[in-house]
Amino acid sequence: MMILANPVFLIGALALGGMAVAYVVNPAVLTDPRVWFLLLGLGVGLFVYVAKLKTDLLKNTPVAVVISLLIAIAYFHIVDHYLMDMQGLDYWYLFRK
Amino acid sequence: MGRVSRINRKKVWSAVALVAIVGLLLLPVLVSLPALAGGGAPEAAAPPPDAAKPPDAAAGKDGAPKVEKARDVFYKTEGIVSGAPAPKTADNTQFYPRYNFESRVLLWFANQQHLYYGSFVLAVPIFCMIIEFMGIVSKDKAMAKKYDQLAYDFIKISLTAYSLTAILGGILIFTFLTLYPAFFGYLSSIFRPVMHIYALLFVAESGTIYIYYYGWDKMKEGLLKWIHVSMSVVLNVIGTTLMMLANSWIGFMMSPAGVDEQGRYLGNIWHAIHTALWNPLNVHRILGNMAFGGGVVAAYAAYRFLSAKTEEERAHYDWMGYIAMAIGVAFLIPLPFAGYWLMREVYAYRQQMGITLMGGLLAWLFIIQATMIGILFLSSNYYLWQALGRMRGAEKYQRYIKYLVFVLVVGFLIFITPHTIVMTPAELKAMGGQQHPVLGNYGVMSAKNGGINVIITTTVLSFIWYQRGNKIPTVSWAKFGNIFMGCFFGLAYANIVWLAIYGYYIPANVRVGLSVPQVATTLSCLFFMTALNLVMLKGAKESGPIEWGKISVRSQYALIMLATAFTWMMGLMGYIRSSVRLFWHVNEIMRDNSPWAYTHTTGFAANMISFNVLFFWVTILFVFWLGTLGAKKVPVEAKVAVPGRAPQPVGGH
Repeated sequence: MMILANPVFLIGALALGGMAVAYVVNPAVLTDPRVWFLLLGLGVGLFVYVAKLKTDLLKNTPVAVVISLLIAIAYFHIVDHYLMDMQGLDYWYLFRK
Repeated sequence: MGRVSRINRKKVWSAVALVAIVGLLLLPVLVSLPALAGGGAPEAAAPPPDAAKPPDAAAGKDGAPKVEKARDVFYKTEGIVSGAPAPKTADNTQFYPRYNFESRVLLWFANQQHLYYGSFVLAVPIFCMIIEFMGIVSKDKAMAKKYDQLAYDFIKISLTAYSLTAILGGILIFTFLTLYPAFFGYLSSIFRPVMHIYALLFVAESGTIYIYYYGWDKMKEGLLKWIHVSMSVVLNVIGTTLMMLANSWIGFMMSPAGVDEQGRYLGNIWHAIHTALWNPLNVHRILGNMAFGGGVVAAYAAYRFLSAKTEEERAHYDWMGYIAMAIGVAFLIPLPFAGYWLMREVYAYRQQMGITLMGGLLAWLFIIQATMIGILFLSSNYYLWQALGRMRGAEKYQRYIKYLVFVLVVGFLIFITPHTIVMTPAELKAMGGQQHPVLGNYGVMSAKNGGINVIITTTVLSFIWYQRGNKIPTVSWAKFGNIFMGCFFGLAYANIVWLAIYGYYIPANVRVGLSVPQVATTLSCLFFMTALNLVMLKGAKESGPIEWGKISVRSQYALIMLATAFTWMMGLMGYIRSSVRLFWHVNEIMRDNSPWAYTHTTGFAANMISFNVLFFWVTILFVFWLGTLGAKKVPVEAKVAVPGRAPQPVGGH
């Protein structure tokens, strides 16, 4: 329960949850790559914060999972979006329909 | 004082010698430059009975030479007609002299054997270059010597194979000249300037490889050693150029350029070389040669391991097999992507050609290819899992291997599922169509791309486990790093599978692009996770040494299997690439009118490939045996080099 009160975990979990909700409610929001850059930036920012100022959290499993998921999910979405875009194709074809 | 000046004198002479070698090597290229610039207009060779006179011989009404212009079939640029049209052949002995045997099969055999040996001798010097360099920069003296000895062992095998390559090249040219003179004459008329460069480069490569090999002991220290390793760079530049020139000929046969629609040369040799498929072929062949070379050397090491009499020998060849396998697999991983690029370019060049390859006449051969690729990756993974057994502390990974087996097998089964099946009418009726109602869904590219990317990602994972087999990370962020790695791999699998499924729901023109992010996902795992792993393992605690030589015998058979599968697949892909021209010598330019201008049955092709593989392995075993004869002469010296020391790997192996 203690971990739920941790701001790093809370911010990360909220961002992940928000993304999941957006997928269900309004996926069109997610078709903008800036959303994913924002999430990636958030993930990297949280990691830098933990690595520099809260090193004890580096050994905290839930925090590590949340930050890792944020970075990896955002990264793969950016890869999917831009590598389709480079070919003149729309990765979000189905979501826009 | 005198000694110092003697050393300095030696250094100066070494530098002068290197400059002279490089100068001599570049001389043929410089001499041929006017020809490359278009000055060497090729003549028509073996003109047909009704061949037109060379255009520049004709004169206009005012007596000035008549210049005829035509349009390039590929580049669509205008050029001056500088050669005769492609010969219009007929099924007779004038164009196709023959023995009482199928000429194509003879040519196939000669070509394939030359290619096997050529690939091997082009790849091995690249290994030598890498390993010799590792030896030079290694701080551990014992390891430096070991690397140096390993590089020497590699080049020794390559040298005997080199002679065989030259002999087979001669046989190939004679086969062309005697059985396909009209075609060979036409091809050499187009590529005359570069064919001379090819021949001269071959001489240069021979000279360099002999100096490189025989100068090994004389150039073992100081600046001379650097000059020696620089020579391996020169050697590889020549070898790669040779390969690229040869690729330009097959590229021209598949996707001609630099000629008009009658096949008349238009004076720009660069257009004839730089065809639509040249670069994808170059990349695919370099990677393929490296993977193949690694496989053959690994098989050599396995053979020596299995026949080893002492623990030391076994340890040495276990280590050698591992290094060769690691290099081979490092180049095997990007190989499917290079193949994918080649196929994309084939489709872009002629859609019909792509359909013939992957959706028509030759599609079943691609199912066999998929099976071979699966075998390659399964063998590599199996070897790595077996190799965990020689490390103390690696037991912790053993219990997870069954999950990797499951993932690999699922990926493999999807990858090899055919779209449609060859059936009897009764079977067809029972199934309700050519496509199986369930399994048929896995026979499309969307599923197959997912399958192969899952296989490759799992191989990367196996390799990372192997790297950390006997190591415990000690960095302060080790736990975070492990979790990040687990999440990244998990999401990479999820992304690959998601993209595969997503492909079923979007139109074909969008779906075709999904393979690129799939590949990028796999490569992200390869580069980022390997790098992260290496950073994490810096200063890691060892849970025990790697006990070289203490590996199961089964692992060595996996290496032999790997090499055989490489060989078979190379033969298969060569056949597919060549067959796609169907009844053309040069696609849409020069028709093949020989009695053998048809596509063989899959069974015949498989038998022919198997025969080629068998012949190659019998002859390469002879080469291996010759290598052991040389080794028997210096057993005492070899032992003195590393006294009483069982071979050990470097820190990062």
